[in-house]
Amino acid sequence: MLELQGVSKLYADGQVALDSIDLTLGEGEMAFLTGHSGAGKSTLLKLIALIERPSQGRIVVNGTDIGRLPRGHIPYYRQNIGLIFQNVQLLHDRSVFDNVALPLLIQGFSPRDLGKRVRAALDTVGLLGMEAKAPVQLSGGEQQRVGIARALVVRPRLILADEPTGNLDPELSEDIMGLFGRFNELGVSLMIATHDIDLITRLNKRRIVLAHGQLEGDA
Amino acid sequence: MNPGQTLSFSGWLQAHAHVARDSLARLRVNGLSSLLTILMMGCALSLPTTLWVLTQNATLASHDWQRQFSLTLYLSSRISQQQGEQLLAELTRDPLVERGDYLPPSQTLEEFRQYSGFGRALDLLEDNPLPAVIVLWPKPGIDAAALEAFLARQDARSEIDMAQADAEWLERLAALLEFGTRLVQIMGVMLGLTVILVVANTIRLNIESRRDEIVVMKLIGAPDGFIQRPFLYSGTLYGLLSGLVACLGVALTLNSLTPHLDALAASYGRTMDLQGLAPGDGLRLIALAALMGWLGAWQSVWRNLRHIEPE
Repeated sequence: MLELQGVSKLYADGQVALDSIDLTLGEGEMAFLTGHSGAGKSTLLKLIALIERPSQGRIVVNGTDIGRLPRGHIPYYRQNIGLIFQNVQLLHDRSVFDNVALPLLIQGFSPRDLGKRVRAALDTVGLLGMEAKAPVQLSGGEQQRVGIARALVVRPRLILADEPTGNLDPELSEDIMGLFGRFNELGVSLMIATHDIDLITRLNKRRIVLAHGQLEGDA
Repeated sequence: MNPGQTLSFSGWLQAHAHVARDSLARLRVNGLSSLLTILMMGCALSLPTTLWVLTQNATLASHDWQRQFSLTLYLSSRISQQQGEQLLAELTRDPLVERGDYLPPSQTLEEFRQYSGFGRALDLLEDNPLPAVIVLWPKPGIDAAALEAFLARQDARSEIDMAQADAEWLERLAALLEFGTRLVQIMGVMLGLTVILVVANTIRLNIESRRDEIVVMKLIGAPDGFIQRPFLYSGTLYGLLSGLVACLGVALTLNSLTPHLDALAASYGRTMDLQGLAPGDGLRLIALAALMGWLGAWQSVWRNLRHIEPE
Protein backbone atom coordinates (compact mmCIF):
# COMPACT_ATOMS: atom_id res chain seq x y z
CA MET A 1 0.00 0.00 0.00
CA LEU A 2 2.65 2.44 1.14
CA GLU A 3 6.41 2.19 0.96
CA LEU A 4 9.10 4.69 1.99
CA GLN A 5 12.66 4.02 0.82
CA GLY A 6 15.45 6.09 2.33
CA VAL A 7 13.26 9.14 2.70
CA SER A 8 14.91 12.27 4.10
CA LYS A 9 13.58 15.76 4.50
CA LEU A 10 15.95 18.65 4.97
CA TYR A 11 14.52 22.12 5.47
CA ALA A 12 16.11 25.25 4.04
CA ASP A 13 17.27 26.34 7.52
CA GLY A 14 19.35 23.15 7.77
CA GLN A 15 16.99 21.34 10.12
CA VAL A 16 16.80 17.61 9.40
CA ALA A 17 13.14 16.67 9.83
CA LEU A 18 13.49 13.09 8.58
CA ASP A 19 16.64 11.07 8.11
CA SER A 20 16.67 7.98 5.82
CA ILE A 21 13.34 6.49 6.75
CA ASP A 22 12.49 3.01 5.42
CA LEU A 23 8.95 2.01 6.12
CA THR A 24 6.18 -0.16 4.70
CA LEU A 25 2.46 -0.14 5.44
CA GLY A 26 0.63 -3.18 4.11
CA GLU A 27 -2.76 -3.30 2.48
CA GLY A 28 -5.42 -3.10 5.21
CA GLU A 29 -2.84 -2.41 7.91
CA MET A 30 -3.30 0.13 10.69
CA ALA A 31 -0.29 1.77 12.33
CA PHE A 32 0.28 4.51 14.87
CA LEU A 33 3.03 6.99 14.34
CA THR A 34 4.37 8.26 17.65
CA GLY A 35 7.24 10.26 19.02
CA HIS A 36 7.92 13.51 20.84
CA SER A 37 6.74 16.73 19.20
CA GLY A 38 9.16 17.70 16.46
CA ALA A 39 10.17 14.08 15.89
CA GLY A 40 8.98 14.26 12.29
CA LYS A 41 5.49 12.72 12.47
CA SER A 42 3.74 15.59 10.68
CA THR A 43 6.51 15.88 8.12
CA LEU A 44 6.18 12.20 7.28
CA LEU A 45 2.44 12.53 6.71
CA LYS A 46 2.94 15.71 4.65
CA LEU A 47 5.38 13.90 2.39
CA ILE A 48 2.89 11.07 1.82
CA ALA A 49 0.10 13.60 1.10
CA LEU A 50 2.45 15.47 -1.28
CA ILE A 51 2.06 18.66 0.70
CA GLU A 52 5.85 18.60 0.77
CA ARG A 53 8.41 16.81 -1.37
CA PRO A 54 11.20 14.68 0.12
CA SER A 55 14.79 15.90 -0.21
CA GLN A 56 15.86 12.31 -0.83
CA GLY A 57 14.35 8.88 -1.24
CA ARG A 58 11.28 7.35 -2.81
CA ILE A 59 7.68 7.14 -1.68
CA VAL A 60 5.54 4.55 -3.44
CA VAL A 61 1.80 4.56 -2.89
CA ASN A 62 -0.33 1.87 -4.50
CA GLY A 63 2.53 1.08 -6.86
CA THR A 64 3.01 4.69 -7.96
CA ASP A 65 6.24 6.53 -7.25
CA ILE A 66 4.59 9.76 -6.12
CA GLY A 67 7.86 11.69 -6.49
CA ARG A 68 7.34 11.47 -10.23
CA LEU A 69 3.77 12.82 -10.21
CA PRO A 70 3.52 16.08 -12.15
CA ARG A 71 1.90 19.02 -10.40
CA GLY A 72 -1.35 18.63 -12.30
CA HIS A 73 -1.84 15.07 -11.06
CA ILE A 74 -1.46 15.86 -7.36
CA PRO A 75 -5.16 16.73 -6.83
CA TYR A 76 -6.26 13.40 -8.31
CA TYR A 77 -3.73 11.58 -6.15
CA ARG A 78 -5.02 13.32 -3.02
CA GLN A 79 -8.60 12.42 -3.90
CA ASN A 80 -7.73 8.81 -3.16
CA ILE A 81 -6.43 9.39 0.36
CA GLY A 82 -8.46 10.49 3.33
CA LEU A 83 -6.64 13.27 5.18
CA ILE A 84 -7.60 14.13 8.74
CA PHE A 85 -6.00 17.02 10.61
CA GLN A 86 -5.74 18.11 14.18
CA ASN A 87 -7.13 21.54 13.33
CA VAL A 88 -10.07 20.17 11.44
CA GLN A 89 -9.97 22.66 8.54
CA LEU A 90 -13.70 22.88 7.93
CA LEU A 91 -15.19 25.61 5.76
CA HIS A 92 -17.01 27.73 8.27
CA ASP A 93 -19.33 29.49 5.86
CA ARG A 94 -20.90 26.20 4.81
CA SER A 95 -23.14 23.69 6.52
CA VAL A 96 -21.98 20.32 7.85
CA PHE A 97 -23.62 18.69 4.83
CA ASP A 98 -21.78 20.94 2.34
CA ASN A 99 -18.46 20.31 4.09
CA VAL A 100 -18.82 16.55 3.85
CA ALA A 101 -20.17 16.80 0.29
CA LEU A 102 -17.21 18.86 -0.95
CA PRO A 103 -14.88 15.94 -1.85
CA LEU A 104 -17.72 14.34 -3.81
CA LEU A 105 -18.42 17.58 -5.68
CA ILE A 106 -14.72 17.80 -6.48
CA GLN A 107 -14.80 14.27 -7.86
CA GLY A 108 -17.67 15.23 -10.12
CA PHE A 109 -20.68 13.76 -8.36
CA SER A 110 -23.77 15.67 -9.35
CA PRO A 111 -25.22 17.63 -6.43
CA ARG A 112 -28.40 15.56 -6.70
CA ASP A 113 -26.72 12.17 -6.26
CA LEU A 114 -24.44 12.78 -3.34
CA GLY A 115 -26.99 13.17 -0.54
CA LYS A 116 -27.12 9.47 0.23
CA ARG A 117 -23.35 9.08 0.56
CA VAL A 118 -23.03 12.22 2.68
CA ARG A 119 -25.70 11.01 5.09
CA ALA A 120 -24.11 7.54 5.23
CA ALA A 121 -20.75 9.11 6.14
CA LEU A 122 -22.37 11.30 8.80
CA ASP A 123 -24.20 8.26 10.15
CA THR A 124 -20.90 6.39 10.48
CA VAL A 125 -19.46 9.13 12.70
CA GLY A 126 -22.72 9.47 14.63
CA LEU A 127 -23.73 12.89 13.34
CA LEU A 128 -26.83 12.05 11.33
CA GLY A 129 -29.35 14.85 11.77
CA MET A 130 -26.68 17.56 12.05
CA GLU A 131 -26.47 18.21 8.28
CA ALA A 132 -27.96 21.69 8.36
CA LYS A 133 -25.81 22.98 11.23
CA ALA A 134 -22.87 25.31 10.81
CA PRO A 135 -19.49 24.00 12.05
CA VAL A 136 -19.36 26.70 14.76
CA GLN A 137 -22.53 25.28 16.32
CA LEU A 138 -20.72 22.00 16.99
CA SER A 139 -18.38 20.98 19.82
CA GLY A 140 -14.70 20.29 19.11
CA GLY A 141 -15.32 16.53 19.07
CA GLU A 142 -18.23 16.90 16.69
CA GLN A 143 -16.17 19.10 14.36
CA GLN A 144 -13.43 16.47 14.36
CA ARG A 145 -15.99 13.85 13.42
CA VAL A 146 -17.24 16.05 10.55
CA GLY A 147 -13.63 16.14 9.34
CA ILE A 148 -13.49 12.34 9.54
CA ALA A 149 -16.79 12.02 7.65
CA ARG A 150 -15.34 14.30 4.96
CA ALA A 151 -12.28 12.05 4.67
CA LEU A 152 -14.21 8.80 4.42
CA VAL A 153 -17.09 9.95 2.20
CA VAL A 154 -14.99 9.15 -0.88
CA ARG A 155 -14.25 5.66 0.54
CA PRO A 156 -10.47 5.99 0.47
CA ARG A 157 -8.24 2.92 0.78
CA LEU A 158 -5.66 4.90 2.75
CA ILE A 159 -6.37 7.30 5.59
CA LEU A 160 -3.69 9.58 7.05
CA ALA A 161 -4.56 11.29 10.33
CA ASP A 162 -2.39 13.87 12.07
CA GLU A 163 -3.18 14.07 15.80
CA PRO A 164 -6.91 13.50 15.19
CA THR A 165 -7.63 13.38 18.93
CA GLY A 166 -5.21 16.11 19.97
CA ASN A 167 -7.89 18.47 21.20
CA LEU A 168 -10.32 15.94 22.59
CA ASP A 169 -11.01 14.52 26.03
CA PRO A 170 -10.07 10.85 26.65
CA GLU A 171 -13.58 9.51 26.19
CA LEU A 172 -14.06 11.19 22.80
CA SER A 173 -10.57 10.15 21.78
CA GLU A 174 -11.42 6.56 22.47
CA ASP A 175 -14.63 6.88 20.42
CA ILE A 176 -12.69 8.20 17.46
CA MET A 177 -9.98 5.59 17.67
CA GLY A 178 -12.73 2.97 17.82
CA LEU A 179 -14.11 4.46 14.64
CA PHE A 180 -10.72 4.11 12.96
CA GLY A 181 -10.57 0.49 14.14
CA ARG A 182 -13.88 -0.18 12.42
CA PHE A 183 -12.65 1.32 9.13
CA ASN A 184 -9.59 -0.88 9.41
CA GLU A 185 -11.81 -3.94 9.78
CA LEU A 186 -13.41 -2.91 6.47
CA GLY A 187 -9.98 -3.13 4.82
CA VAL A 188 -8.88 0.52 4.94
CA SER A 189 -5.17 1.15 5.58
CA LEU A 190 -4.54 3.81 8.22
CA MET A 191 -1.53 5.72 9.48
CA ILE A 192 -2.34 7.81 12.53
CA ALA A 193 0.10 10.21 14.12
CA THR A 194 -0.57 10.65 17.83
CA HIS A 195 1.19 11.09 21.15
CA ASP A 196 -1.64 9.57 23.15
CA ILE A 197 0.43 6.57 24.36
CA ASP A 198 -2.18 5.29 26.84
CA LEU A 199 -4.77 4.97 24.14
CA ILE A 200 -2.65 3.12 21.61
CA THR A 201 -1.27 0.78 24.20
CA ARG A 202 -4.79 -0.37 24.88
CA LEU A 203 -5.58 -0.72 21.16
CA ASN A 204 -2.67 -3.08 20.63
CA LYS A 205 -1.76 -2.08 17.06
CA ARG A 206 1.52 -1.58 15.23
CA ARG A 207 3.55 1.37 16.58
CA ILE A 208 6.09 3.27 14.56
CA VAL A 209 8.25 5.46 16.79
CA LEU A 210 10.16 8.45 15.48
CA ALA A 211 12.84 10.35 17.34
CA HIS A 212 14.80 13.29 15.93
CA GLY A 213 13.77 12.36 12.42
CA GLN A 214 14.93 8.75 12.70
CA LEU A 215 13.06 5.51 13.01
CA GLU A 216 13.49 4.43 16.63
CA GLY A 217 11.09 1.55 16.88
CA ASP A 218 8.56 -0.39 14.82
CA ALA A 219 6.49 -3.05 16.50
CA MET B 1 -12.33 11.62 -10.85
CA ASN B 2 -9.02 10.85 -12.45
CA PRO B 3 -7.53 12.79 -15.36
CA GLY B 4 -9.32 11.71 -18.47
CA GLN B 5 -12.31 10.39 -16.58
CA THR B 6 -15.42 12.11 -17.81
CA LEU B 7 -18.61 13.15 -16.15
CA SER B 8 -22.06 12.74 -17.65
CA PHE B 9 -23.34 15.85 -19.39
CA SER B 10 -26.26 16.35 -17.01
CA GLY B 11 -23.96 15.90 -14.02
CA TRP B 12 -21.59 18.45 -15.48
CA LEU B 13 -24.48 20.83 -16.09
CA GLN B 14 -25.75 20.38 -12.54
CA ALA B 15 -22.30 21.02 -11.11
CA HIS B 16 -22.01 24.23 -13.11
CA ALA B 17 -25.51 25.37 -12.15
CA HIS B 18 -24.53 24.76 -8.53
CA VAL B 19 -21.44 26.98 -8.85
CA ALA B 20 -23.37 29.68 -10.73
CA ARG B 21 -25.97 29.85 -7.96
CA ASP B 22 -23.19 29.95 -5.39
CA SER B 23 -21.45 32.83 -7.21
CA LEU B 24 -24.69 34.79 -7.38
CA ALA B 25 -25.26 34.23 -3.66
CA ARG B 26 -21.74 35.49 -2.88
CA LEU B 27 -22.36 38.57 -5.00
CA ARG B 28 -25.39 39.30 -2.84
CA VAL B 29 -23.45 38.73 0.39
CA ASN B 30 -20.90 41.40 -0.62
CA GLY B 31 -23.83 43.55 -1.79
CA LEU B 32 -22.54 47.11 -1.55
CA SER B 33 -18.99 46.57 -2.76
CA SER B 34 -20.20 44.35 -5.62
CA LEU B 35 -22.73 47.00 -6.57
CA LEU B 36 -20.08 49.74 -6.59
CA THR B 37 -17.75 47.61 -8.72
CA ILE B 38 -20.53 46.86 -11.20
CA LEU B 39 -21.57 50.54 -11.38
CA MET B 40 -17.98 51.59 -11.99
CA MET B 41 -17.57 49.05 -14.78
CA GLY B 42 -20.94 50.00 -16.24
CA CYS B 43 -20.02 53.69 -16.36
CA ALA B 44 -16.70 52.89 -18.01
CA LEU B 45 -18.51 50.89 -20.70
CA SER B 46 -21.33 53.35 -21.26
CA LEU B 47 -18.96 56.17 -22.24
CA PRO B 48 -17.54 54.69 -25.48
CA THR B 49 -20.91 53.10 -26.25
CA THR B 50 -22.72 56.43 -26.05
CA LEU B 51 -20.10 58.02 -28.27
CA TRP B 52 -20.46 55.15 -30.72
CA VAL B 53 -24.23 55.58 -30.87
CA LEU B 54 -23.77 59.30 -31.51
CA THR B 55 -21.30 58.77 -34.38
CA GLN B 56 -23.65 56.14 -35.85
CA ASN B 57 -26.44 58.70 -35.75
CA ALA B 58 -24.25 61.38 -37.29
CA THR B 59 -23.17 59.04 -40.09
CA LEU B 60 -26.81 58.23 -40.85
CA ALA B 61 -27.74 61.90 -40.78
CA SER B 62 -24.82 62.82 -43.01
CA HIS B 63 -26.17 60.50 -45.69
CA ASP B 64 -29.40 62.46 -45.55
CA TRP B 65 -27.58 65.75 -45.76
CA GLN B 66 -25.54 64.59 -48.73
CA ARG B 67 -28.76 63.87 -50.53
CA GLN B 68 -29.44 67.60 -50.48
CA PHE B 69 -26.05 68.35 -52.01
CA SER B 70 -25.64 69.02 -55.68
CA LEU B 71 -22.81 69.41 -58.15
CA THR B 72 -23.09 72.18 -60.71
CA LEU B 73 -21.50 71.77 -64.16
CA TYR B 74 -21.35 74.96 -66.25
CA LEU B 75 -21.45 73.93 -69.90
CA SER B 76 -19.45 75.51 -72.67
CA SER B 77 -21.42 77.95 -74.86
CA ARG B 78 -20.63 75.75 -77.91
CA ILE B 79 -22.87 73.00 -76.57
CA SER B 80 -26.34 72.83 -77.99
CA GLN B 81 -29.38 71.93 -75.90
CA GLN B 82 -29.50 68.50 -77.54
CA GLN B 83 -25.84 67.85 -76.76
CA GLY B 84 -26.42 69.07 -73.21
CA GLU B 85 -29.28 66.65 -72.69
CA GLN B 86 -27.17 63.83 -74.11
CA LEU B 87 -24.41 64.73 -71.67
CA LEU B 88 -26.93 64.64 -68.81
CA ALA B 89 -28.12 61.20 -69.86
CA GLU B 90 -24.51 59.99 -69.92
CA LEU B 91 -23.71 61.49 -66.52
CA THR B 92 -26.75 60.07 -64.77
CA ARG B 93 -25.57 56.60 -65.78
CA ASP B 94 -22.49 57.12 -63.58
CA PRO B 95 -22.72 55.01 -60.42
CA LEU B 96 -22.00 58.05 -58.25
CA VAL B 97 -24.97 59.99 -59.53
CA GLU B 98 -28.49 59.56 -58.25
CA ARG B 99 -30.23 62.02 -60.54
CA GLY B 100 -29.61 65.17 -62.51
CA ASP B 101 -31.23 68.12 -64.28
CA TYR B 102 -30.40 70.02 -67.42
CA LEU B 103 -31.11 73.75 -67.30
CA PRO B 104 -30.85 75.60 -70.67
CA PRO B 105 -29.49 79.19 -70.65
CA SER B 106 -32.99 80.62 -70.82
CA GLN B 107 -33.94 78.88 -67.61
CA THR B 108 -30.75 79.78 -65.77
CA LEU B 109 -31.35 83.39 -66.72
CA GLU B 110 -34.87 83.18 -65.37
CA GLU B 111 -33.62 81.72 -62.08
CA PHE B 112 -30.88 84.31 -61.86
CA ARG B 113 -33.41 87.05 -62.45
CA GLN B 114 -35.59 85.71 -59.63
CA TYR B 115 -32.91 85.15 -56.99
CA SER B 116 -30.27 87.78 -57.71
CA GLY B 117 -32.28 90.97 -57.66
CA PHE B 118 -30.56 92.12 -60.89
CA GLY B 119 -33.81 91.67 -62.85
CA ARG B 120 -33.97 95.14 -64.31
CA ALA B 121 -30.28 95.26 -65.15
CA LEU B 122 -30.47 91.99 -67.01
CA ASP B 123 -33.09 93.42 -69.32
CA LEU B 124 -30.43 95.79 -70.61
CA LEU B 125 -28.33 92.93 -71.96
CA GLU B 126 -28.81 92.00 -75.59
CA ASP B 127 -27.57 88.42 -75.29
CA ASN B 128 -28.02 85.94 -72.50
CA PRO B 129 -24.54 85.77 -70.92
CA LEU B 130 -25.36 82.72 -68.79
CA PRO B 131 -24.29 79.20 -69.76
CA ALA B 132 -26.45 76.09 -69.70
CA VAL B 133 -26.07 74.16 -66.49
CA ILE B 134 -26.28 70.53 -65.47
CA VAL B 135 -27.11 69.96 -61.79
CA LEU B 136 -26.27 66.50 -60.37
CA TRP B 137 -27.31 64.97 -57.05
CA PRO B 138 -24.80 62.38 -55.89
CA LYS B 139 -25.94 59.13 -54.30
CA PRO B 140 -25.93 59.18 -50.47
CA GLY B 141 -22.97 57.70 -48.68
CA ILE B 142 -20.38 58.44 -51.34
CA ASP B 143 -17.13 59.56 -49.83
CA ALA B 144 -15.66 62.96 -50.44
CA ALA B 145 -12.56 61.74 -52.26
CA ALA B 146 -14.59 59.84 -54.89
CA LEU B 147 -16.80 62.86 -55.38
CA GLU B 148 -13.81 65.12 -55.82
CA ALA B 149 -12.26 62.80 -58.40
CA PHE B 150 -15.56 62.76 -60.24
CA LEU B 151 -15.66 66.56 -60.26
CA ALA B 152 -12.07 66.78 -61.51
CA ARG B 153 -12.94 64.43 -64.38
CA GLN B 154 -15.86 66.63 -65.38
CA ASP B 155 -13.82 69.79 -65.04
CA ALA B 156 -11.31 68.39 -67.54
CA ARG B 157 -13.91 67.80 -70.27
CA SER B 158 -14.04 70.24 -73.13
CA GLU B 159 -17.86 70.42 -73.03
CA ILE B 160 -17.70 71.69 -69.47
CA ASP B 161 -16.26 75.06 -68.57
CA MET B 162 -16.37 74.57 -64.85
CA ALA B 163 -17.50 71.96 -62.32
CA GLN B 164 -18.29 73.01 -58.76
CA ALA B 165 -19.44 71.50 -55.52
CA ASP B 166 -19.35 72.44 -51.92
CA ALA B 167 -17.10 69.46 -51.32
CA GLU B 168 -15.19 71.17 -48.55
CA TRP B 169 -18.15 70.98 -46.26
CA LEU B 170 -18.51 67.27 -46.97
CA GLU B 171 -14.82 66.71 -46.41
CA ARG B 172 -14.96 68.39 -43.05
CA LEU B 173 -17.94 66.29 -42.03
CA ALA B 174 -16.26 63.10 -43.19
CA ALA B 175 -13.09 63.99 -41.30
CA LEU B 176 -15.11 64.73 -38.19
CA LEU B 177 -16.91 61.40 -38.44
CA GLU B 178 -13.62 59.60 -39.02
CA PHE B 179 -12.23 61.33 -35.93
CA GLY B 180 -15.29 60.32 -33.93
CA THR B 181 -14.97 56.71 -35.02
CA ARG B 182 -11.27 56.62 -34.08
CA LEU B 183 -12.07 58.18 -30.72
CA VAL B 184 -14.70 55.51 -30.07
CA GLN B 185 -12.19 52.79 -30.94
CA ILE B 186 -9.44 54.18 -28.72
CA MET B 187 -11.76 54.84 -25.80
CA GLY B 188 -13.35 51.44 -26.27
CA VAL B 189 -9.98 49.71 -25.98
CA MET B 190 -8.82 51.80 -22.99
CA LEU B 191 -12.04 51.52 -21.05
CA GLY B 192 -12.43 47.86 -21.99
CA LEU B 193 -8.99 47.31 -20.50
CA THR B 194 -10.09 49.23 -17.41
CA VAL B 195 -13.07 46.91 -17.01
CA ILE B 196 -10.84 43.84 -17.33
CA LEU B 197 -8.40 45.21 -14.74
CA VAL B 198 -11.19 46.13 -12.33
CA VAL B 199 -12.53 42.58 -12.50
CA ALA B 200 -9.04 41.13 -12.16
CA ASN B 201 -8.41 43.16 -9.04
CA THR B 202 -11.80 42.37 -7.51
CA ILE B 203 -11.25 38.66 -8.11
CA ARG B 204 -7.73 38.90 -6.67
CA LEU B 205 -9.23 40.31 -3.45
CA ASN B 206 -11.86 37.54 -3.48
CA ILE B 207 -9.12 34.94 -3.81
CA GLU B 208 -7.16 36.51 -0.95
CA SER B 209 -10.20 36.54 1.32
CA ARG B 210 -10.91 32.88 0.56
CA ARG B 211 -7.31 31.71 0.89
CA ASP B 212 -8.03 29.31 3.79
CA GLU B 213 -10.87 27.76 1.89
CA ILE B 214 -8.68 27.28 -1.17
CA VAL B 215 -6.02 25.56 0.94
CA VAL B 216 -8.62 23.16 2.36
CA MET B 217 -9.94 22.41 -1.11
CA LYS B 218 -6.45 21.69 -2.40
CA LEU B 219 -5.86 19.38 0.58
CA ILE B 220 -8.88 17.28 -0.26
CA GLY B 221 -7.86 17.00 -3.88
CA ALA B 222 -9.59 19.82 -5.73
CA PRO B 223 -7.93 20.44 -9.11
CA ASP B 224 -7.31 24.04 -10.22
CA GLY B 225 -10.25 23.78 -12.61
CA PHE B 226 -12.63 23.13 -9.75
CA ILE B 227 -11.21 25.85 -7.52
CA GLN B 228 -11.19 28.52 -10.20
CA ARG B 229 -14.72 27.84 -11.42
CA PRO B 230 -16.60 30.03 -8.90
CA PHE B 231 -14.15 32.90 -9.52
CA LEU B 232 -14.65 32.69 -13.28
CA TYR B 233 -18.40 32.68 -12.74
CA SER B 234 -18.14 35.74 -10.48
CA GLY B 235 -16.07 37.61 -13.06
CA THR B 236 -18.50 36.77 -15.85
CA LEU B 237 -21.40 37.82 -13.64
CA TYR B 238 -19.70 41.14 -12.88
CA GLY B 239 -19.25 41.68 -16.62
CA LEU B 240 -22.82 40.70 -17.47
CA LEU B 241 -24.36 43.02 -14.88
CA SER B 242 -22.03 45.89 -15.82
CA GLY B 243 -23.16 45.42 -19.44
CA LEU B 244 -26.75 45.85 -18.31
CA VAL B 245 -25.79 48.96 -16.33
CA ALA B 246 -24.00 50.32 -19.42
CA CYS B 247 -27.12 49.81 -21.57
CA LEU B 248 -29.13 51.72 -19.01
CA GLY B 249 -26.46 54.43 -18.84
CA VAL B 250 -26.47 54.85 -22.62
CA ALA B 251 -30.26 55.13 -22.70
CA LEU B 252 -30.30 57.73 -19.92
CA THR B 253 -27.50 59.78 -21.49
CA LEU B 254 -29.08 59.81 -24.94
CA ASN B 255 -32.40 60.72 -23.42
CA SER B 256 -30.91 63.73 -21.69
CA LEU B 257 -29.03 64.75 -24.86
CA THR B 258 -32.03 64.61 -27.21
CA PRO B 259 -33.43 68.13 -26.57
CA HIS B 260 -29.96 69.67 -27.03
CA LEU B 261 -29.33 67.79 -30.27
CA ASP B 262 -32.76 68.78 -31.56
CA ALA B 263 -31.94 72.42 -30.83
CA LEU B 264 -28.55 72.06 -32.54
CA ALA B 265 -30.05 70.47 -35.65
CA ALA B 266 -32.80 73.09 -35.75
CA SER B 267 -30.19 75.85 -35.78
CA TYR B 268 -28.89 74.35 -39.05
CA GLY B 269 -32.43 74.17 -40.36
CA ARG B 270 -32.48 70.41 -40.13
CA THR B 271 -34.20 67.82 -38.01
CA MET B 272 -32.52 64.91 -36.32
CA ASP B 273 -34.20 61.75 -35.19
CA LEU B 274 -31.83 60.33 -32.56
CA GLN B 275 -31.67 56.53 -32.68
CA GLY B 276 -30.84 54.78 -29.38
CA LEU B 277 -28.85 51.57 -28.90
CA ALA B 278 -30.51 48.85 -31.00
CA PRO B 279 -31.58 45.73 -29.00
CA GLY B 280 -29.11 43.59 -30.96
CA ASP B 281 -26.25 45.98 -30.19
CA GLY B 282 -27.32 46.09 -26.55
CA LEU B 283 -27.11 42.29 -26.37
CA ARG B 284 -23.72 42.40 -28.06
CA LEU B 285 -22.54 44.93 -25.50
CA ILE B 286 -23.71 42.72 -22.62
CA ALA B 287 -22.05 39.66 -24.17
CA LEU B 288 -18.82 41.59 -24.71
CA ALA B 289 -18.91 42.85 -21.12
CA ALA B 290 -19.43 39.30 -19.85
CA LEU B 291 -16.47 38.16 -21.94
CA MET B 292 -14.31 40.94 -20.50
CA GLY B 293 -15.40 39.93 -16.99
CA TRP B 294 -14.43 36.35 -17.67
CA LEU B 295 -11.10 37.46 -19.11
CA GLY B 296 -10.29 39.60 -16.06
CA ALA B 297 -11.20 36.77 -13.71
CA TRP B 298 -9.22 34.25 -15.73
CA GLN B 299 -6.14 36.47 -15.69
CA SER B 300 -6.42 36.93 -11.92
CA VAL B 301 -7.03 33.24 -11.22
CA TRP B 302 -4.13 32.25 -13.44
CA ARG B 303 -1.77 34.60 -11.60
CA ASN B 304 -2.92 34.09 -8.02
CA LEU B 305 -4.32 30.60 -7.56
CA ARG B 306 -1.24 28.51 -8.17
CA HIS B 307 0.70 30.31 -5.45
CA ILE B 308 -1.72 29.20 -2.77
CA GLU B 309 -0.61 25.79 -1.53
CA PRO B 310 -1.12 23.94 1.76
CA GLU B 311 1.83 24.13 4.14
